[in-house]
Amino acid sequence: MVYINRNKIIEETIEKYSNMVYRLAMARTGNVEISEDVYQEVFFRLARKMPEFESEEHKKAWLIRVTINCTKTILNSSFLKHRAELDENLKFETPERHDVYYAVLNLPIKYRTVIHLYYYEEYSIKEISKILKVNENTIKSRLARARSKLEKILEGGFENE
Amino acid sequence: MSKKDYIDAVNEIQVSEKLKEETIQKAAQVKSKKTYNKIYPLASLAIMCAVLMTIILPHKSIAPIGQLKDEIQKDEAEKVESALPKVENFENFYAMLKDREDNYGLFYNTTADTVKTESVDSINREETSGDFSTTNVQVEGVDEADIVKTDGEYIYYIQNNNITITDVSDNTKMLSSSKIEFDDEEFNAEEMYLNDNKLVVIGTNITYNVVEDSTETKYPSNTSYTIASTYNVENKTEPELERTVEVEGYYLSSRMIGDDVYLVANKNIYTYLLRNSTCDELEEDYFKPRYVDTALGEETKYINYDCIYYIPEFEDSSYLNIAAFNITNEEPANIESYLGAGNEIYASNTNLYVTKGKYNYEENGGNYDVDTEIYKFNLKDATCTFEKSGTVPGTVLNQFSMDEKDGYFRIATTDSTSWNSEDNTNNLYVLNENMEIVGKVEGLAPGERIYSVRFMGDRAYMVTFVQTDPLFVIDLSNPTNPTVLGELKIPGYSKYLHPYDDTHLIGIGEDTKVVNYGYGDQVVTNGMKMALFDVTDPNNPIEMYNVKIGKKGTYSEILNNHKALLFSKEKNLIAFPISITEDDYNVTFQGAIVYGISLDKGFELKGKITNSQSNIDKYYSRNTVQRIIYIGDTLYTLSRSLIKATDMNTMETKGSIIL
Repeated sequence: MVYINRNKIIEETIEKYSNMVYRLAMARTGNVEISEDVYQEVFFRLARKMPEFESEEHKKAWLIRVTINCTKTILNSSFLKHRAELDENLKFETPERHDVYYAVLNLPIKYRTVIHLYYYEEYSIKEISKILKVNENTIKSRLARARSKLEKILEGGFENE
Repeated sequence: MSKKDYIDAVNEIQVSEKLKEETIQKAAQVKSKKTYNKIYPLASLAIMCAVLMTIILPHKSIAPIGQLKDEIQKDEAEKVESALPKVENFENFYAMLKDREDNYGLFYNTTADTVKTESVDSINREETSGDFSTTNVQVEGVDEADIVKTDGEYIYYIQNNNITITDVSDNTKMLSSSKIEFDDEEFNAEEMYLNDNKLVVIGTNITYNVVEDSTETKYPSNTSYTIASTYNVENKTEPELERTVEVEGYYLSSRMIGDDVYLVANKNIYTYLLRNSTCDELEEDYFKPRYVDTALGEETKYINYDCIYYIPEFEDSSYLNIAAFNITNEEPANIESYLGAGNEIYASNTNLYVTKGKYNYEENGGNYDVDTEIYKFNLKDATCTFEKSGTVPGTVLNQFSMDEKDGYFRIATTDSTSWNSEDNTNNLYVLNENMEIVGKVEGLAPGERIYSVRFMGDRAYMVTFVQTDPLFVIDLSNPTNPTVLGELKIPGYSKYLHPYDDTHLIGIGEDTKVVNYGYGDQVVTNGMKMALFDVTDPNNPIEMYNVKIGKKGTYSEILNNHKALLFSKEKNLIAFPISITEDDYNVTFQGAIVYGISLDKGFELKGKITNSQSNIDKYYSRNTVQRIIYIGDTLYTLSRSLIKATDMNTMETKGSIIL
């Protein structure tokens, strides 16, 4: 972590974590416009704070936490409470992908956050609990409920390959 | 259907390259607690303007809007006598902003590019009362905030958004007295002042919101406050928060004169809300600048439109907010709000000058004309009153480009008429108390731009650069006839000039060399360089000594922030934080470098002090030495992890404390 050149670090971080931040924001909001706002704000906060990271993992976890906080703030804002609607016309290459993505987006936000971090970012339950600052059992039960909901919606469930 | 489909689906979700590029650009300009390379904001401003030029059709300068036209013109005529006109009510506000929005469109957020800079003057500043260093400021008697302050017994240091107060009366056994912690994640402690038993912490608080206009289109909307919290630190173990003054806007800069603090902030006005809404549909209060002064109570107050001034011909949809208060009493803070914006500030003991770049494009696009508008405010007893405004051609580099002496304001600018730097010329203007140009030198070093300026009494020293560094010596003893007396051409350039004494000058900058990789000559940096100039004979400035440090990639905050310098002529001492890069971009050292300095011997390396414990440690920013200060014969290097005491004479470590 050489902090010698701040802007280089910011640029490298954006290059590396762009999609991670954006995809998480999308998973939480389902809305391109809001996700783009969140995306910018996350990296602006990074630039503003230039926090000291112990490791690359630490940095990644920080970005995830900030992304979650930013989406939370924006979704809670009084202007948007009832308007943060899913973008209906996201395009995917296969209908399966489309259906599964929308199935996840239709879950409650805390479920889809866990789903995204567990299946997509491949964090363990323990790691997710650390990142979200929520206890492990809660994460386990959210994951289980999310899975069972998905099983009802999706043919053949979510877990199988 | 499976989780693999989910993963594949997510993989199809991509950030657009455009957003990514834009974010990289903008993030580089976001102000962090540390001040870094100033080239970036300039470069991105250039890019932004270049983009604008391709997007916007050329336009004339703004015509005052119908209903206000007469009023404005009348005020312009009376400008010399009267204060600024007031906005008066929301209808006027709406009309003015809407007009500028229509004419200027994309200009609405140019203030976001403001770079924080602070100011320093001509006079050689030696340490005041005790035997300890103080922040390297531009003007004697006008204090500037920094991340570290000391009273000779205690060191106050902003570190990881906390302020640690460390008892250093015994430098072998430093003790932590207390820590002021800011729980609020959104609050960023930026810098502070120490004045007797009062510690004034300047910080910013930014919250992220979304607003929507009448068509239900959503826009992001940051609410930022610049905050000054005054602590009583009489009891070092229990600092007590006495008062908080918050004013809306991004922190531009601040000064402390005597017991009076002056805060300058820029607040963007989100004009996109005006675009699709009529005046009646909008909430008046939303656009008013807000402030909090705990001397008046905890609640947020609004500045009403009948108290808001506007700077005629303002271009930016933003407010310039200035808060002033005395730290020793509970008198309500004086908050002044102007429709307008600022880029750089300079403060003398009695006046505050805020500058703002103004671009006028030619009808056919391409070329443009750039001017700097200067707003002069009188500072007195914690009040700030607008006095005059003036305009000079060109743009200013930083606070050191400006100076005030005997009622005359002096300013150095780089002027250009296109993005091609070949058109650059460098100028110096002298303005009288009414902000009228009375004297000038124009057309210096064509094709180059200013890298540093320093005013010392009746002289100005100016460094411009393309391949070699001319150091100009300009005589200002006759304000109406400034004259170039001499110039010195040497390789490299100085980014900061510091007076050694009346006839000698220290330049700190970068060494350069000309290389040719097969596509023409290029100038590349080649490590840092520090030089001592003899300007006894202004017609023949001489480089007496120079020392080169490291290779390309070597960086010190001093290149962009004068507060990183520790200098004492009496102690023959010059030191600053640095990270040294040798070949292959390998950082070989991070810490502070300490030189002896004298007219007989020039620079003598005394030693290097690192706060890293091991070789690998130097890569961690927590060990990065941010400042070096002295108390008595002890040097203290400060990094977020550690304060370390080193004997100034033997360069032996005397003690350290982990923060």
